[in-house]
Amino acid sequence: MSSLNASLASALSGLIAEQGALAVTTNNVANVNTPGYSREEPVLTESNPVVVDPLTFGTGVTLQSVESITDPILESQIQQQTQSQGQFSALASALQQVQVNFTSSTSDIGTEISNFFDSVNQLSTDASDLSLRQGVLTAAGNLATSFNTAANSLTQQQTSLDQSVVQQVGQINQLTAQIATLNGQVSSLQNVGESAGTFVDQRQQAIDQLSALVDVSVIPSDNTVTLTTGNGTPLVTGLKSFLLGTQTNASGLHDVYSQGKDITSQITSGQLGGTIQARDQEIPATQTQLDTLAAGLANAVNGVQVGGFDLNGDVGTDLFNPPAASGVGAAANLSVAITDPALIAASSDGMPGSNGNAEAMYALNSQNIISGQSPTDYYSGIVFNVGNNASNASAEQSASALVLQQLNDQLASISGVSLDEEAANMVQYQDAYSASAEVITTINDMMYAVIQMSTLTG
Amino acid sequence: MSSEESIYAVRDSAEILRRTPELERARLALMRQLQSSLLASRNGVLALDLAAIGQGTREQVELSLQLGKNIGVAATSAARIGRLMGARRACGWAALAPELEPELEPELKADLKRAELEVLQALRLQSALLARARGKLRVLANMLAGPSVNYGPPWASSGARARAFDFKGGEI
Repeated sequence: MSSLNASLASALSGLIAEQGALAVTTNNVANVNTPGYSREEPVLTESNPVVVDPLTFGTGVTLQSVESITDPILESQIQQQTQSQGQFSALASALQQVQVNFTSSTSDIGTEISNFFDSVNQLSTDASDLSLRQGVLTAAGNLATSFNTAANSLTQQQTSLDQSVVQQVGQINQLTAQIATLNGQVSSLQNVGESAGTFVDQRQQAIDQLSALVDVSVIPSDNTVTLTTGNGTPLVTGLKSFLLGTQTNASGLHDVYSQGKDITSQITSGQLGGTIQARDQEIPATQTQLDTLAAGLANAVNGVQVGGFDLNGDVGTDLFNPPAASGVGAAANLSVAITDPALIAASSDGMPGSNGNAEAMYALNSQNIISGQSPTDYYSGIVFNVGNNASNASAEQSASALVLQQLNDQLASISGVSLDEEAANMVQYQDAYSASAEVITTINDMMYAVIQMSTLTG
Repeated sequence: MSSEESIYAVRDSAEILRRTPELERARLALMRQLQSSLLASRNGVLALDLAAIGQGTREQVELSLQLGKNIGVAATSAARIGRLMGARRACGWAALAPELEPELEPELKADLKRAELEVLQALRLQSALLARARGKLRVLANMLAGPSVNYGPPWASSGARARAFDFKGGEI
């Protein structure tokens, strides 16, 4: 039969366990507003019983562990949406800046194209008027400047995005190092059976921050997590973090390297993915379209110009400096080749007052000279593409934000602290503690009675 | 025949021109309905409520068809106006006779423009949310799939339901 001392030990285990449970509740209540905190639950188990033939007696209760309440599937979805939001946030931000170059203004490319052809049209009314000729040169200069400004602005935005790539790689390295350290702290505590809930939460927060920057796959292993990029490049394995690096490529932009391998094109999500997409795909595509327009326009105008005669009766020369045959850099380098207004070849027959060539030049405005489109239509296409891409990226960002909000709400309903629930738990643990204390008092009385009996009989 | 349908049934150019503002107001109302419908079905898409997604999509398809009809009539009307203006100019007359001049209030024009942009943005968002919902449903379908069930998207390209939704009790 169990002794009074054994009962006392059982009651004591109850006191200790309920005290521990109450401490868990207290910690939950204290962290009710802590971002990223997952509520904890005490795991109480029955202590190993003792067998006193033929009976088996319980020996009380043990606070086996304290568990964080999380949902790995929800966390995985949150990481996925965080990556998506990071990607589209970076992309939308970059594209909105690109869009500014194509906003209607008094000096945007579309307006300057119209101004240039209007000035040529005016010249055709009086081809020998020097002020009208000067007007054409001025409009051609303004057109070239508008191309130069837009192209240079795109290059600056690309350079700025390139700097962001370097900064983001630095942030990724900081976070992976932090996660590796937290892996060690979680592992050392869990290996000795201690609760590592706080460090697990910190690690989860760091993983969420990392997910916003780059596509991350999380592979749980014994007490640690292994992180790789979406294509399998290791970021963290156990206690070791693998640093990403950057190297300047032939274009002067930074590529991302991991262990000597260029992984730039494999990063497709997170802020880094969005930044790289804007830097390496969206901006170059717009630059190419601008170059096509600038080169096509310059070549077409030059073609008409050299087919006519200037005010002196000489064969016309190029109005714009000819762009490179490939068209690369045409928008950035477009410039007017002549400064003398008399050199504009308005005449088609060499007569000073003739305007045949000026009319032919004006007609270019409505001819399909740029990839099967008129200059204005082609430019409208560029504006549409830029605006459409920016709006799509913005809509994707909003969609990710909405889904992320919903997932966070779902996770909060599982991992968040409910004060009502904690209040109920507190009452429950307090009652159990009081009951155990009452048992101890009763055993104390019984022991006193036994001692009294032995005193009387002694 | 409803009032809107009666507009679409009009074949006479002059009548179409006179009723252009009515056509535009009908379009504005349709766009506002479409916008409300998109907003209402957004929660269904977020919650993966298939019934709500289906109902919302049916409603939006119907509204889009009505909008298409409205825009088609408007385009025909615009083409007729263009032809009429050309013919009158050729005769040296004013572009349009005053009684045929479509009268669109500036407020209506501004409302139409705003509604167009808002509907476009709402459609982009809905499309992005639907793409995410489809991805999530695919994951769920694969999670629900038992050993005898083919893994794959919830709906096959032929429109047939995938096996994951045909499971019987105890199959999971």
